[in-house]
This record gives sequence, structure tokens and C-alpha cells, in this order.
Amino acid sequence: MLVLTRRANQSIIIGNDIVVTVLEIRGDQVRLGITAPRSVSVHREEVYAEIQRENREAAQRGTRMADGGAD
Amino acid sequence: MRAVLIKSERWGEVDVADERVFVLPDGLVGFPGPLRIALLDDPSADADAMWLQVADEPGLAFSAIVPWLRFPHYEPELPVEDQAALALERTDDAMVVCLLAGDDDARPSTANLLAPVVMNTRTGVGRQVVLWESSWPLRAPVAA
Repeated sequence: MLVLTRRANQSIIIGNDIVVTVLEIRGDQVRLGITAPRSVSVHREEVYAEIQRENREAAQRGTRMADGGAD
Repeated sequence: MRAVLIKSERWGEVDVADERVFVLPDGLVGFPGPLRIALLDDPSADADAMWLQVADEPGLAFSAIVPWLRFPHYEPELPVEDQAALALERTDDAMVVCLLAGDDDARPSTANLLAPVVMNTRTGVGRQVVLWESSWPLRAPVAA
């Protein structure tokens, strides 16, 4: 993982058109501003991980029931 | 109407009408695309239950429902970028399904209303849409 140090009001650019700006640092919280083209979705990782888990369970529900198991 | 032969571990070889087969270019969250899926009705379950069978992976199928019967007040509002990605111009062209998780007492069935799979029936393209701005639940209890 690439590690960069930024201060408040400084930014990093990812690719040509995604800008991540540190807006505010307060204790252990950081507020980030993200500018990205509409075609790029920006997700909070923890929500994304939860949706991924639900999707896996939807697939497992498939296999378990295919095994003739629970209903 | 053309039919597509789909192999499923659960259902064997099934002829599926062309219009029930969709491509998800970006896959599902955690399942990278493109995925070609067939909507298979589940005759052993309620009328609104189905499987999203991945066409090239017989062992991979996602349990799903058409949400309106159980959640009549469900009103997902499609973010503009998803609407654009799906080239959806009319609500009549959209088909919405929600994935189901859980299947026993320890983990009762829930429907994912936060991230429905929306398909354009005109183009045959679909995607899992995350309704970030909404408060629809990730795990809405589904009565058995």
C-alpha cells in the first residue's frame, strides 16, 4: 500500500480525474472531500464490505438449499 | 422467442427465455463482472422467489425476490449515474430484484433493500445499485 502524508486542505490526485482532499482533522476523525467523475462510484469501505457479505450469503443460501438442507 | 440453455447445480439444465437472461457488466458487489445471469423461478417457493443463476458457473446462484409483494412501500430511487449506466429511460423497462440472505432459525431470512439488482429489460443489462442516499435496510426481515 502506498502511504502519503497530507495536511488539512491538501489533496492527492488518483488517475487523471479523482481528487481526494483532506478537509479537516479532528482527533481520530478525518473529513475527506472526494471529487470524481459521475461514472466512478465512491463507497465507504465498511458498507461495501457488508453488502459483499450479504451477497455471499445469498449465494450460500443457494448452495445449502441445493444440498437438500434447511428451508 | 429464443431460449438459452442454462446449467444449474440446483435445477439441472434449464431452457430459459432470452428475455430472462441479463448481463451484469460490473457483476455483483464481491463478485466481479461481467456476469451473465438467468432468472430462474423457484417452483418450490412463493411466486415472488427466484434464483439469479450465473450462466457460466452452475454452482453459483443467488437467492432473490421481486420485492413489491412483501415490501409494497419499497421505492428505490435510482442514482443518476446508475440510471445512466443502465440506459434506463422508462420505469416500465426496469426490473428490480432484491437478494435474500439467511435461511434458518439462527439467521432468519432477510432481503437486501439497500442494494437491489436493477435490470433494463429492453437492453438486457443489469447492475447492483447501492442506494447510498437512502435509508432502505441492508437486512429487511422476510416473514417465512
